[in-house]
Amino acid sequence: MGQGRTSLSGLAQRAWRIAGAVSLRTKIVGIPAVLVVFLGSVVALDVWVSEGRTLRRELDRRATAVAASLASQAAELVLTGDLFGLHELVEEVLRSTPDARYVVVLDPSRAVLVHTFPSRVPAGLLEVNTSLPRSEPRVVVFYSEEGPIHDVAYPIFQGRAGEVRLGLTEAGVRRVLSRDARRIAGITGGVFLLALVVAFALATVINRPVTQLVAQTERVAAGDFTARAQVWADDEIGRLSRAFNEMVSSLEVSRQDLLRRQRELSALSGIAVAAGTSADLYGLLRIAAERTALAAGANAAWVLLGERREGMTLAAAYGLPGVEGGLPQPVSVFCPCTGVLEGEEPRLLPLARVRCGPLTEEMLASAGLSCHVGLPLRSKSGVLGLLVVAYSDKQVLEDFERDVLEAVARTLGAAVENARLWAEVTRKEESRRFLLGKLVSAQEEERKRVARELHDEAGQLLTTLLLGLEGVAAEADLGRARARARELISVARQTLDAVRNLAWQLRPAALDDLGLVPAVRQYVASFSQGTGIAVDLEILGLEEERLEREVEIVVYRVLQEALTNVARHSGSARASVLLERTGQRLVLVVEDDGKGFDQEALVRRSPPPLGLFGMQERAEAVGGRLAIESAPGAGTTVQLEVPLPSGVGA
Amino acid sequence: MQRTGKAVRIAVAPVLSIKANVLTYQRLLAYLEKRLGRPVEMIQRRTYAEVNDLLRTGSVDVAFICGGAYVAARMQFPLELLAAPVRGGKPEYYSYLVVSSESHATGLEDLKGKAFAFSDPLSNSGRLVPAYLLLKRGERPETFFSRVIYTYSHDNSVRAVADGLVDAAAVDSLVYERAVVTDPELATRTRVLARYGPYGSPPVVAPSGADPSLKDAVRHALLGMSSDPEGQGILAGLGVDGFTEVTPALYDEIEEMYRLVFSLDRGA
Repeated sequence: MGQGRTSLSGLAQRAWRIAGAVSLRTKIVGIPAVLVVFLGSVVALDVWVSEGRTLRRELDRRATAVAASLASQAAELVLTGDLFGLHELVEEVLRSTPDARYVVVLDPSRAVLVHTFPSRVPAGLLEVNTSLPRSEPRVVVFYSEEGPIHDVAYPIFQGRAGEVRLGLTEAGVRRVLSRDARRIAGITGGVFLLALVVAFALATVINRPVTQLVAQTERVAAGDFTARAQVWADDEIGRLSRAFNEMVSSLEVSRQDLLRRQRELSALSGIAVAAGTSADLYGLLRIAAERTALAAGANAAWVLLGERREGMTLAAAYGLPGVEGGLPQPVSVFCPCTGVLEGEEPRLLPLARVRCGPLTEEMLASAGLSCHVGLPLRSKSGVLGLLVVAYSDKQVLEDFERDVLEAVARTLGAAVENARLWAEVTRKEESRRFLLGKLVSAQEEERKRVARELHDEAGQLLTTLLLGLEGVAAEADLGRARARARELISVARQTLDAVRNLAWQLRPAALDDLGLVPAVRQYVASFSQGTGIAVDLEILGLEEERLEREVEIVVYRVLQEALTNVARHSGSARASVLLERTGQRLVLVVEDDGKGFDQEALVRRSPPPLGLFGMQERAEAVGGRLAIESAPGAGTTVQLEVPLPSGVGA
Repeated sequence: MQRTGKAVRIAVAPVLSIKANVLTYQRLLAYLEKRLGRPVEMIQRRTYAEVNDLLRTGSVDVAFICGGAYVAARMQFPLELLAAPVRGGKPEYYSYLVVSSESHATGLEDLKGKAFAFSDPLSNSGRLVPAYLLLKRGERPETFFSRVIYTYSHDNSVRAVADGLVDAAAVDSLVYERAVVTDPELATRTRVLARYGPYGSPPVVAPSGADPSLKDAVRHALLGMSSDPEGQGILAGLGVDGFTEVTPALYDEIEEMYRLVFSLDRGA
C-alpha cells in the first residue's frame, strides 16, 4: 500500500515534471485542446450509451410492428397451407426489413413451417422465445456469434395458427451510433482545430511580454543592470514587469553596496596582512587606525592599550587633531565604550556629553564627531586594549560593519600580543648574550680570586711555614725546636684549612657527598660564622634525601647568591631561610629586613645586574620561577619555586 | 387500325406467377390489341380452376391455359381450341422434374420422403405428369412425398426448389428454360432431374359461344405472328417459334392422365 502510494506520488511527480517542462505557450494551447477532446469523448460516450438505449428500444418496437404485420399476413397462408406464399412472404419480409436476420413461421404445435435460414433453423433458436402460452408478443434479446439479436415472437391469429419469429440484429443501431460518433468526432475535431487556432493566438498575445521579460532577465543575469521590461498592460504580467523593473533598480543599488563592502573588506584585509608582517607595533597601529577609519567610513579612530580603564596608553590615533605628535601617551578612559573590556557587546554610543579617553571638547568640535563605538583588542591571555571608531554622522551600526570592526580588533589584538612577545624575546636574548659574556669574565675573576687567595693566604702561610722550618732546622736546642715545631704544625693546619675552604667554595663537597639539606645547613652555618649575620634556617618536608642533581645545584647556588647579596647590600643583621617541599614543588625563600631597593629601577638598569639574572637563568633552566620582591627600606624577599619530577629522590 | 369498341377480355392462366404473367404477356396482348383493332383487357385468377370458371361462364373471350386445365374444361363444357405454341416445329412441350443442383437424386424414385411442389392442381406438367407416374408405380404423392405444397405457378415452383423450400418440383419445360435464361442464378441452383413428355402445348382457347369473327381474328393474328417481324420479336421473348392450329386429340394423353389422377383424388 505504501508502495502504491509511492508509485502514485511518483507518477504525479513525473506528470508534473512533464507538464512543468513544456513551455507556457504549449500549456495555453494544450489546455483547451485537451478539454475539447475530453468533452468530445464524454459527449460521445454519453450519446453512445443513451442513444444506444433509445435505439434498442426503437428496434424492439419496430421488430414487434413488423412481426405483427407479418403475423397478420401469414394467418391466411398458414390456414390455407400455402407454404409457398408463406415462403414468399417471409423472404419478402426478410428482404424489406432492415436489420432482419431471420424469419421463422411455426405452426401451433411449434413445428417449423417456413424459415429464412439457408438450410435449417439453428439448434436452440426455437427455445429462446415464444409467444404461445399466453398468446402475447414477447421480445427477447440473446447473444449470437453476430452480436445481440432482438427476437420477437408474435402469435398468428391469437396463436391458433402458430406464431412468427422475427430476429433483428443491432447492425442498424451500431450504424447509427457509429455515424453519430463519427459526427461528434468530426465536430470535436473542428472545435479542436478552432481551439488550437484561438489558443495559439491567445498564447502569442500572452507570451510576447513574457518572452520579452525573459530576455530582459537574461540581460540582467549577464550583468546589464540597465535592462528594463516594457509594461504592455496593467494586468498581472504588467505588474510583474513593473516589479521586475523595481527589482532591477534595487538590485543595482545593492550591487553598488556590495561593491563598497568589498572595497572595505579588501582594505581591512590589508590591515591584517600588515599586522602579520609589521614588527613596529606603533607604526602598525597607526596604519590600522587610518585604514579602519577610511574603510568603515568613520571620521576618526584610535587605539588604546591596557587592561583597565585607568592607566591606558593611547598608542595610535587617526583623525584627532593635535594628538598624533605625542604618542604614545598615558590616558584614563571613563566612557561606556570601555564596557566591551568587561565583555559587553560593542554598540554605537553618542559622544555629545561624554569624555572618551583622549578626546577634548576642541577635538570633538573640530572633527565634528557625534558617536563612537569601542571594540576590545583581545589575545589568548586576555584583553589588551581598545579600538575606538568615531563617526560624525552615523545612525545605526550594521551587523556587517560590526563584524568587520570586530575582525579588525581581533587582528590588532593578535598584533599587539605578537609585538609584546617579540619585545620580551628580544630583551631576553640581549640579557642572555650579556650573561654569557659575564660568565666568561666571572670565570676569570674566580681564577684571579683563587690565585690571589692561594698567594695571599696559602702562600703566606707556606712562607711562614718555610721560615719556621728553617728556624727549626737552625735551632740547636731540642726543647725550643719542639716548641717551634708545634707552632709550625698549627700554621700547617691553618694552611690546610685555608686550602680546604677555597676548594669547598669552588665546589661544595658536602653537596656532592651528602645532598642538599646537609649542604644547606653547612653553608648557612659557615655563612653565619664568616659574616656574623644571624640566619634563621627552617627546612620543612625534606629529610636527607637526594634530589635531582641539577635542582640541588640550582637551589644551593640561589641560596648562596641570595645570602651573598644580603651580606653585600642589605646591611641587615638578620636573615631567614625557608626550604620547603610541598608535593611536587620545592620552595626556597630568603628574606632580610635590610635596606631593600627600587625594583623598577633595577629591572630597567642596563646592563641588568648579573646576580639577579644569574638566579633567574638558573631557575628557568630547571623549569622553575624566581620572584624578587623589594622596596626601598622594606627589605628583600627572594623566592624560588622549582617543580620536582615525581618519583625522583625516593 | 381501330382500337375502339368493346374490349376483348383475354384470361391468362397463372402458368407464371401473377406479376410474371403481366410482364410476359403484355407485349403479346398489345400486339393482339393492335391486330384486332380493339382494346384488350388482361384478366388473371390465382388458380387454373378459377380461369376455367371464367371460360365456363363466358366471362372471357379468349384464354391462355394449360393442357391439364383444357382437358378438365372440355369434360365439363364445350370450348374451342384456337391455337397452341410451337417449339422445335411441333406444338409440344415437356414436364421437367427439377431438383436442387446439390441433390444427389437420379430419378423420381429417389425423391421418396422429400418435400415436393406442385404448381396447380389442374396443371399438366406441374402436377398430372408426376402424379400419374407415381400412380403407375402404385404410389400416391401425398404419401410418397413427405410434404406436398402448391405454388400456383411454375416459376414459383422453380424458386421453391432454388430457395430450398422443397426438394423437388415438376414444371413446364417452356417456363423452366425461359426462367434460366432470364435468371441465370436459377440454372446454378437447380437442375433438371428428368424430362417427361412430349405433351400438347398449353393451348389458346375460347368459349364455344364466343364471337366467331373474334375467334377467327385471334387465331389469324396468332398464326401470323411468326411471319411478322414484330410478332417474331414477341415470340422470341416468349421462348416459342410461333403458334399453330391444333386438334383436341393432341390432348387425349393428358386427358387419360387426368382421369386417372382425379379418379383417385375423388376416391381418396
